[in-house]
Amino acid sequence: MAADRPRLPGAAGFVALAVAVAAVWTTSRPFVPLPAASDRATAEPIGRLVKGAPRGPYIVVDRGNNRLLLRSGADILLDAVVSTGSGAVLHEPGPDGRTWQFATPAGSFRVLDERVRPVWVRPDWAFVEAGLPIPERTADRRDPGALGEYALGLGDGYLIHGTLYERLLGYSVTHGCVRVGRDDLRTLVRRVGPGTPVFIF
Amino acid sequence: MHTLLPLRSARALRAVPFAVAAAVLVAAVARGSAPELATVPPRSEGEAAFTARTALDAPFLVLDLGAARMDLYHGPALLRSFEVFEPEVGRSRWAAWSAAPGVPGPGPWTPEEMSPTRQRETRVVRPQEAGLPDPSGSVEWIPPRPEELNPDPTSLRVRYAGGLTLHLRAEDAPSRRWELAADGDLVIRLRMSRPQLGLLFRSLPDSAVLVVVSPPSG
Repeated sequence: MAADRPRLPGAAGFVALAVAVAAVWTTSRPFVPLPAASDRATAEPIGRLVKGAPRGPYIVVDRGNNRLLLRSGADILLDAVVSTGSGAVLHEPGPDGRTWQFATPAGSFRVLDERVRPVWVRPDWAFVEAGLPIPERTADRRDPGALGEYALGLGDGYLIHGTLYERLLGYSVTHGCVRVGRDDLRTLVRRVGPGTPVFIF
Repeated sequence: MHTLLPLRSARALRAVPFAVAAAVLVAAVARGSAPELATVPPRSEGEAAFTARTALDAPFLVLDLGAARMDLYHGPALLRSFEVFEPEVGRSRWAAWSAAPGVPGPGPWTPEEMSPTRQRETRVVRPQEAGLPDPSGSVEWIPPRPEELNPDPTSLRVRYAGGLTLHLRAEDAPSRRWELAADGDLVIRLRMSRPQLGLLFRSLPDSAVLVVVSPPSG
Protein backbone atom coordinates (compact mmCIF):
# COMPACT_ATOMS: atom_id res chain seq x y z
CA MET A 1 0.00 0.00 0.00
CA ALA A 2 2.78 2.40 -0.90
CA ALA A 3 0.34 4.89 -2.34
CA ASP A 4 -1.10 5.45 1.11
CA ARG A 5 2.23 6.49 2.66
CA PRO A 6 2.81 10.21 3.16
CA ARG A 7 5.61 11.47 0.93
CA LEU A 8 7.81 14.37 1.72
CA PRO A 9 7.80 17.22 -0.73
CA GLY A 10 9.78 16.28 -3.78
CA ALA A 11 13.23 17.57 -4.61
CA ALA A 12 11.76 19.66 -7.40
CA GLY A 13 9.74 21.59 -4.87
CA PHE A 14 12.76 22.41 -2.78
CA VAL A 15 14.71 23.44 -5.84
CA ALA A 16 11.91 25.77 -6.90
CA LEU A 17 11.83 27.29 -3.44
CA ALA A 18 15.58 27.75 -3.34
CA VAL A 19 15.57 29.37 -6.76
CA ALA A 20 12.83 31.76 -5.72
CA VAL A 21 14.60 32.75 -2.52
CA ALA A 22 17.91 33.17 -4.32
CA ALA A 23 16.25 35.30 -6.96
CA VAL A 24 14.76 37.60 -4.37
CA TRP A 25 18.00 37.65 -2.38
CA THR A 26 20.08 38.74 -5.31
CA THR A 27 17.66 41.15 -6.90
CA SER A 28 16.61 42.91 -3.73
CA ARG A 29 19.17 45.57 -2.96
CA PRO A 30 19.01 46.89 0.56
CA PHE A 31 21.83 49.31 -0.20
CA VAL A 32 21.37 52.06 -2.72
CA PRO A 33 24.52 53.50 -4.20
CA LEU A 34 24.60 57.23 -4.30
CA PRO A 35 25.77 58.62 -7.62
CA ALA A 36 29.49 58.91 -8.05
CA ALA A 37 30.80 62.38 -7.47
CA SER A 38 31.59 62.85 -11.13
CA ASP A 39 28.05 61.93 -12.18
CA ARG A 40 26.10 64.30 -10.08
CA ALA A 41 25.71 68.00 -9.87
CA THR A 42 28.83 69.43 -8.32
CA ALA A 43 28.20 70.31 -4.76
CA GLU A 44 29.87 73.45 -3.59
CA PRO A 45 32.33 72.75 -0.82
CA ILE A 46 30.59 72.82 2.51
CA GLY A 47 33.50 74.80 3.91
CA ARG A 48 32.32 77.90 2.07
CA LEU A 49 29.58 78.24 4.67
CA VAL A 50 31.97 78.59 7.59
CA LYS A 51 31.88 81.91 9.33
CA GLY A 52 34.52 82.82 11.84
CA ALA A 53 37.16 80.46 10.51
CA PRO A 54 40.68 81.35 11.62
CA ARG A 55 42.25 83.98 9.39
CA GLY A 56 45.73 82.99 8.47
CA PRO A 57 47.69 80.01 9.75
CA TYR A 58 46.55 77.96 12.70
CA ILE A 59 47.99 74.95 14.47
CA VAL A 60 46.28 71.56 14.66
CA VAL A 61 47.66 68.88 16.98
CA ASP A 62 46.43 65.34 16.32
CA ARG A 63 47.20 63.42 19.52
CA GLY A 64 45.96 60.12 18.14
CA ASN A 65 48.60 60.16 15.43
CA ASN A 66 51.25 62.38 17.04
CA ARG A 67 51.13 64.88 14.20
CA LEU A 68 51.15 68.65 14.14
CA LEU A 69 49.63 70.42 11.16
CA LEU A 70 50.04 74.05 10.33
CA ARG A 71 46.95 74.87 8.31
CA SER A 72 45.61 77.84 6.50
CA GLY A 73 42.07 76.85 5.62
CA ALA A 74 42.22 73.85 3.30
CA ASP A 75 45.99 74.24 2.79
CA ILE A 76 48.45 72.29 4.89
CA LEU A 77 51.61 74.35 5.32
CA LEU A 78 53.41 71.90 7.59
CA ASP A 79 52.80 68.29 8.57
CA ALA A 80 55.20 67.36 11.36
CA VAL A 81 55.69 64.23 13.44
CA VAL A 82 55.65 65.25 17.09
CA SER A 83 55.47 63.78 20.57
CA THR A 84 52.45 64.33 22.81
CA GLY A 85 51.45 63.39 26.33
CA SER A 86 51.96 59.83 27.52
CA GLY A 87 48.83 59.74 29.65
CA ALA A 88 50.96 58.24 32.42
CA VAL A 89 50.01 58.79 36.04
CA LEU A 90 52.48 59.78 38.75
CA HIS A 91 51.68 59.49 42.44
CA GLU A 92 53.78 61.42 44.93
CA PRO A 93 54.88 59.19 47.80
CA GLY A 94 53.50 59.95 51.24
CA PRO A 95 50.09 60.28 52.84
CA ASP A 96 49.41 63.70 51.32
CA GLY A 97 51.02 62.88 48.01
CA ARG A 98 49.74 64.57 44.89
CA THR A 99 48.83 62.87 41.63
CA TRP A 100 49.59 64.06 38.11
CA GLN A 101 48.43 62.73 34.77
CA PHE A 102 50.67 63.59 31.86
CA ALA A 103 48.15 64.17 29.08
CA THR A 104 48.10 66.78 26.37
CA PRO A 105 44.80 68.60 26.82
CA ALA A 106 42.26 68.67 23.97
CA GLY A 107 40.39 71.77 22.96
CA SER A 108 40.93 75.18 21.44
CA PHE A 109 43.78 77.39 22.59
CA ARG A 110 45.86 80.31 21.41
CA VAL A 111 49.56 80.92 21.42
CA LEU A 112 49.99 83.21 24.40
CA ASP A 113 53.68 83.90 24.08
CA GLU A 114 56.71 82.91 22.06
CA ARG A 115 60.02 82.33 23.78
CA VAL A 116 63.41 82.15 22.14
CA ARG A 117 65.98 79.88 23.77
CA PRO A 118 63.53 79.11 26.57
CA VAL A 119 64.67 77.96 29.96
CA TRP A 120 62.59 75.25 31.51
CA VAL A 121 61.68 75.89 35.11
CA ARG A 122 61.14 72.36 36.27
CA PRO A 123 57.83 71.92 38.10
CA ASP A 124 57.35 69.81 41.21
CA TRP A 125 56.46 66.64 39.35
CA ALA A 126 59.80 66.62 37.57
CA PHE A 127 61.54 66.28 40.93
CA VAL A 128 59.01 63.79 42.29
CA GLU A 129 59.41 61.64 39.20
CA ALA A 130 63.18 61.75 39.54
CA GLY A 131 63.05 61.01 43.25
CA LEU A 132 64.74 64.28 44.11
CA PRO A 133 63.83 66.79 46.80
CA ILE A 134 61.75 69.69 45.56
CA PRO A 135 63.91 72.82 45.69
CA GLU A 136 62.62 75.98 47.27
CA ARG A 137 64.53 78.39 45.04
CA THR A 138 63.42 78.92 41.45
CA ALA A 139 67.05 79.20 40.45
CA ASP A 140 67.48 75.55 41.39
CA ARG A 141 64.70 74.54 39.01
CA ARG A 142 66.13 76.12 35.89
CA ASP A 143 67.05 73.74 33.09
CA PRO A 144 68.32 75.62 30.02
CA GLY A 145 68.37 73.80 26.72
CA ALA A 146 65.77 71.16 27.52
CA LEU A 147 63.06 72.89 25.47
CA GLY A 148 65.05 73.44 22.30
CA GLU A 149 65.31 76.73 20.45
CA TYR A 150 61.76 77.98 20.80
CA ALA A 151 58.67 77.48 22.94
CA LEU A 152 55.11 78.56 22.28
CA GLY A 153 53.10 78.94 25.46
CA LEU A 154 49.49 77.72 25.51
CA GLY A 155 48.74 78.43 29.17
CA ASP A 156 48.74 76.33 32.35
CA GLY A 157 52.33 75.34 31.71
CA TYR A 158 51.61 73.61 28.40
CA LEU A 159 54.06 74.41 25.62
CA ILE A 160 54.84 73.55 22.04
CA HIS A 161 58.62 73.33 22.12
CA GLY A 162 61.72 71.70 20.75
CA THR A 163 63.38 68.63 22.13
CA LEU A 164 66.69 67.01 22.86
CA TYR A 165 65.13 63.63 22.10
CA GLU A 166 64.28 63.69 18.39
CA ARG A 167 64.40 59.89 18.27
CA LEU A 168 61.22 59.89 20.36
CA LEU A 169 59.23 61.99 17.90
CA GLY A 170 56.12 60.05 16.94
CA TYR A 171 55.81 58.50 20.41
CA SER A 172 53.47 59.56 23.19
CA VAL A 173 56.11 60.23 25.81
CA THR A 174 55.76 63.80 27.03
CA HIS A 175 54.39 65.17 30.25
CA GLY A 176 51.68 67.07 28.34
CA CYS A 177 53.66 69.43 26.14
CA VAL A 178 53.98 69.00 22.40
CA ARG A 179 57.57 68.33 21.32
CA VAL A 180 58.54 69.28 17.79
CA GLY A 181 61.71 68.49 15.86
CA ARG A 182 64.20 71.30 15.33
CA ASP A 183 63.63 71.92 11.62
CA ASP A 184 59.84 71.72 11.88
CA LEU A 185 59.92 74.04 14.91
CA ARG A 186 61.90 76.59 12.94
CA THR A 187 59.35 76.42 10.12
CA LEU A 188 56.52 76.73 12.60
CA VAL A 189 57.77 79.79 14.46
CA ARG A 190 58.34 81.62 11.18
CA ARG A 191 54.58 81.37 10.45
CA VAL A 192 52.94 81.78 13.84
CA GLY A 193 53.09 84.03 16.86
CA PRO A 194 51.10 85.20 19.83
CA GLY A 195 47.39 84.96 19.06
CA THR A 196 47.68 82.07 16.61
CA PRO A 197 44.79 79.63 17.20
CA VAL A 198 45.72 76.09 18.30
CA PHE A 199 43.31 73.16 18.12
CA ILE A 200 44.23 69.93 19.87
CA PHE A 201 42.18 66.79 19.33
CA MET B 1 6.45 2.56 11.54
CA HIS B 2 4.82 5.05 9.23
CA THR B 3 2.28 7.65 10.03
CA LEU B 4 -0.49 7.23 7.59
CA LEU B 5 -2.06 10.23 5.99
CA PRO B 6 -4.83 10.34 3.50
CA LEU B 7 -3.60 10.42 -0.07
CA ARG B 8 -5.08 13.90 -0.62
CA SER B 9 -3.06 15.34 2.30
CA ALA B 10 0.17 13.89 0.99
CA ARG B 11 -0.32 15.54 -2.40
CA ALA B 12 -1.06 18.84 -0.71
CA LEU B 13 2.13 18.55 1.30
CA ARG B 14 4.19 18.11 -1.85
CA ALA B 15 2.70 21.26 -3.29
CA VAL B 16 3.76 23.41 -0.34
CA PRO B 17 7.26 24.34 -1.65
CA PHE B 18 5.83 25.35 -5.02
CA ALA B 19 3.24 27.50 -3.33
CA VAL B 20 5.84 29.16 -1.13
CA ALA B 21 8.13 29.76 -4.11
CA ALA B 22 5.30 31.31 -6.05
CA ALA B 23 4.36 33.53 -3.12
CA VAL B 24 7.95 34.68 -2.68
CA LEU B 25 8.26 35.55 -6.34
CA VAL B 26 4.95 37.38 -6.40
CA ALA B 27 5.97 39.36 -3.34
CA ALA B 28 9.32 40.21 -4.88
CA VAL B 29 7.75 41.37 -8.12
CA ALA B 30 5.20 43.43 -6.24
CA ARG B 31 7.93 45.02 -4.14
CA GLY B 32 10.23 45.79 -7.01
CA SER B 33 13.76 44.60 -7.39
CA ALA B 34 15.77 47.60 -6.31
CA PRO B 35 14.50 50.06 -3.73
CA GLU B 36 14.62 53.71 -4.46
CA LEU B 37 15.73 56.11 -1.78
CA ALA B 38 12.70 56.74 0.36
CA THR B 39 13.80 60.17 1.48
CA VAL B 40 16.53 62.61 0.64
CA PRO B 41 16.49 65.57 3.00
CA PRO B 42 17.12 68.91 1.33
CA ARG B 43 20.80 69.76 1.20
CA SER B 44 19.97 73.03 2.91
CA GLU B 45 19.03 71.15 6.10
CA GLY B 46 22.47 69.61 6.33
CA GLU B 47 24.10 72.93 5.54
CA ALA B 48 22.14 74.57 8.35
CA ALA B 49 23.17 71.83 10.80
CA PHE B 50 26.77 72.23 9.70
CA THR B 51 26.69 75.99 10.16
CA ALA B 52 25.21 75.57 13.63
CA ARG B 53 28.06 73.25 14.67
CA THR B 54 30.72 75.65 13.41
CA ALA B 55 29.49 78.16 15.98
CA LEU B 56 30.32 75.81 18.88
CA ASP B 57 33.64 75.17 20.59
CA ALA B 58 33.64 71.41 20.00
CA PRO B 59 34.84 68.87 17.45
CA PHE B 60 32.46 67.35 14.92
CA LEU B 61 32.54 65.26 11.77
CA VAL B 62 30.68 66.37 8.66
CA LEU B 63 29.94 63.88 5.88
CA ASP B 64 29.16 65.70 2.66
CA LEU B 65 27.56 63.13 0.38
CA GLY B 66 27.48 65.70 -2.40
CA ALA B 67 31.22 66.24 -2.42
CA ALA B 68 32.25 62.71 -1.39
CA ARG B 69 34.34 63.95 1.48
CA MET B 70 34.31 63.88 5.21
CA ASP B 71 35.84 66.63 7.28
CA LEU B 72 36.72 66.85 10.93
CA TYR B 73 36.17 70.31 12.35
CA HIS B 74 36.59 71.99 15.69
CA GLY B 75 34.02 74.78 15.60
CA PRO B 76 34.85 76.76 12.46
CA ALA B 77 38.37 75.34 12.08
CA LEU B 78 39.03 72.49 9.66
CA LEU B 79 41.22 69.88 11.34
CA ARG B 80 41.44 67.06 8.80
CA SER B 81 39.82 66.12 5.49
CA PHE B 82 39.11 62.62 4.24
CA GLU B 83 38.19 61.64 0.70
CA VAL B 84 35.55 58.93 0.51
CA PHE B 85 34.39 56.70 -2.35
CA GLU B 86 31.37 54.67 -3.38
CA PRO B 87 28.87 56.02 -0.87
CA GLU B 88 25.86 53.78 -0.32
CA VAL B 89 22.87 54.10 1.93
CA GLY B 90 20.78 51.20 3.09
CA ARG B 91 19.66 48.86 5.79
CA SER B 92 20.23 45.25 6.59
CA ARG B 93 18.63 42.99 4.00
CA TRP B 94 15.90 41.90 6.39
CA ALA B 95 15.09 45.38 7.62
CA ALA B 96 14.95 46.60 4.04
CA TRP B 97 11.82 44.56 3.49
CA SER B 98 9.84 46.73 5.84
CA ALA B 99 11.38 50.13 5.20
CA ALA B 100 13.15 51.45 2.15
CA PRO B 101 16.44 53.20 2.90
CA GLY B 102 16.69 56.93 2.77
CA VAL B 103 19.48 59.42 3.21
CA PRO B 104 19.58 60.06 6.96
CA GLY B 105 18.69 63.44 8.32
CA PRO B 106 21.47 65.89 9.08
CA GLY B 107 21.64 65.15 12.78
CA PRO B 108 23.79 65.92 14.70
CA TRP B 109 24.20 62.23 15.41
CA THR B 110 25.79 61.34 18.74
CA PRO B 111 28.36 58.52 18.68
CA GLU B 112 27.65 55.49 20.85
CA GLU B 113 30.10 52.83 19.86
CA MET B 114 33.11 52.31 17.64
CA SER B 115 34.28 48.99 16.27
CA PRO B 116 37.07 48.01 16.47
CA THR B 117 37.73 49.68 19.78
CA ARG B 118 40.92 51.65 20.26
CA GLN B 119 43.65 50.43 22.56
CA ARG B 120 44.76 52.92 25.15
CA GLU B 121 47.61 52.56 27.59
CA THR B 122 47.61 54.27 30.94
CA ARG B 123 50.84 53.68 32.73
CA VAL B 124 51.63 54.47 36.33
CA VAL B 125 55.06 56.02 36.77
CA ARG B 126 56.96 54.97 39.86
CA PRO B 127 59.04 57.75 41.34
CA GLN B 128 62.70 56.95 41.49
CA GLU B 129 64.40 56.67 44.80
CA ALA B 130 66.96 59.40 45.26
CA GLY B 131 70.34 58.42 44.03
CA LEU B 132 69.25 55.03 42.76
CA PRO B 133 68.46 53.97 39.23
CA ASP B 134 64.76 53.61 38.51
CA PRO B 135 63.91 50.00 39.44
CA SER B 136 61.04 49.91 36.97
CA GLY B 137 63.20 51.20 34.19
CA SER B 138 60.53 53.82 33.48
CA VAL B 139 63.00 56.38 32.17
CA GLU B 140 63.95 54.11 29.30
CA TRP B 141 60.44 52.79 28.76
CA ILE B 142 59.19 53.72 25.30
CA PRO B 143 55.55 53.10 24.44
CA PRO B 144 54.43 51.73 21.09
CA ARG B 145 53.81 54.25 18.35
CA PRO B 146 50.14 55.08 17.78
CA GLU B 147 50.11 53.09 14.54
CA GLU B 148 51.63 50.13 16.38
CA LEU B 149 49.12 50.31 19.20
CA ASN B 150 46.20 50.83 16.82
CA PRO B 151 47.14 49.65 13.32
CA ASP B 152 45.21 50.81 10.27
CA PRO B 153 41.98 48.79 10.28
CA THR B 154 40.40 47.42 7.12
CA SER B 155 36.98 48.29 8.41
CA LEU B 156 35.64 50.82 10.88
CA ARG B 157 32.10 51.06 12.14
CA VAL B 158 30.70 53.88 14.24
CA ARG B 159 27.22 53.48 15.61
CA TYR B 160 25.28 56.61 16.45
CA ALA B 161 22.34 56.99 18.82
CA GLY B 162 19.03 57.00 17.02
CA GLY B 163 19.73 54.20 14.56
CA LEU B 164 22.51 55.29 12.24
CA THR B 165 25.71 53.39 11.55
CA LEU B 166 28.66 54.72 9.58
CA HIS B 167 30.60 51.84 8.07
CA LEU B 168 33.94 52.64 6.46
CA ARG B 169 36.10 50.14 4.61
CA ALA B 170 39.59 50.45 3.23
CA GLU B 171 39.57 50.42 -0.55
CA ASP B 172 42.18 47.65 -0.54
CA ALA B 173 40.38 45.51 2.03
CA PRO B 174 40.99 41.83 1.22
CA SER B 175 37.29 40.97 1.16
CA ARG B 176 34.53 42.90 -0.50
CA ARG B 177 32.03 41.56 1.97
CA TRP B 178 30.51 44.13 4.27
CA GLU B 179 29.68 43.28 7.83
CA LEU B 180 26.04 42.85 8.68
CA ALA B 181 24.31 45.95 9.90
CA ALA B 182 22.52 46.08 13.20
CA ASP B 183 18.85 45.32 12.79
CA GLY B 184 16.91 48.31 11.67
CA ASP B 185 19.85 50.69 11.59
CA LEU B 186 20.20 52.93 8.62
CA VAL B 187 23.73 52.43 7.35
CA ILE B 188 25.98 54.68 5.34
CA ARG B 189 28.74 52.64 3.71
CA LEU B 190 31.83 54.33 2.38
CA ARG B 191 35.27 53.41 1.16
CA MET B 192 38.44 55.33 1.78
CA SER B 193 42.16 54.79 1.51
CA ARG B 194 43.64 52.63 4.23
CA PRO B 195 46.08 55.29 5.52
CA GLN B 196 43.26 57.80 5.81
CA LEU B 197 41.08 55.22 7.53
CA GLY B 198 43.91 54.63 10.00
CA LEU B 199 44.30 58.35 10.69
CA LEU B 200 40.57 58.68 11.29
CA PHE B 201 40.43 55.57 13.48
CA ARG B 202 43.22 56.72 15.78
CA SER B 203 42.18 60.32 16.14
CA LEU B 204 38.39 60.60 15.87
CA PRO B 205 37.38 62.26 19.15
CA ASP B 206 34.96 60.17 21.19
CA SER B 207 32.64 63.13 21.49
CA ALA B 208 32.61 64.15 17.82
CA VAL B 209 29.02 64.20 16.58
CA LEU B 210 28.25 63.53 12.94
CA VAL B 211 26.46 65.89 10.58
CA VAL B 212 25.23 64.45 7.29
CA VAL B 213 24.79 66.73 4.29
CA SER B 214 22.67 65.30 1.47
CA PRO B 215 23.73 65.31 -2.15
CA PRO B 216 22.27 68.12 -4.21
CA SER B 217 18.98 67.28 -5.86
CA GLY B 218 18.75 66.93 -9.60
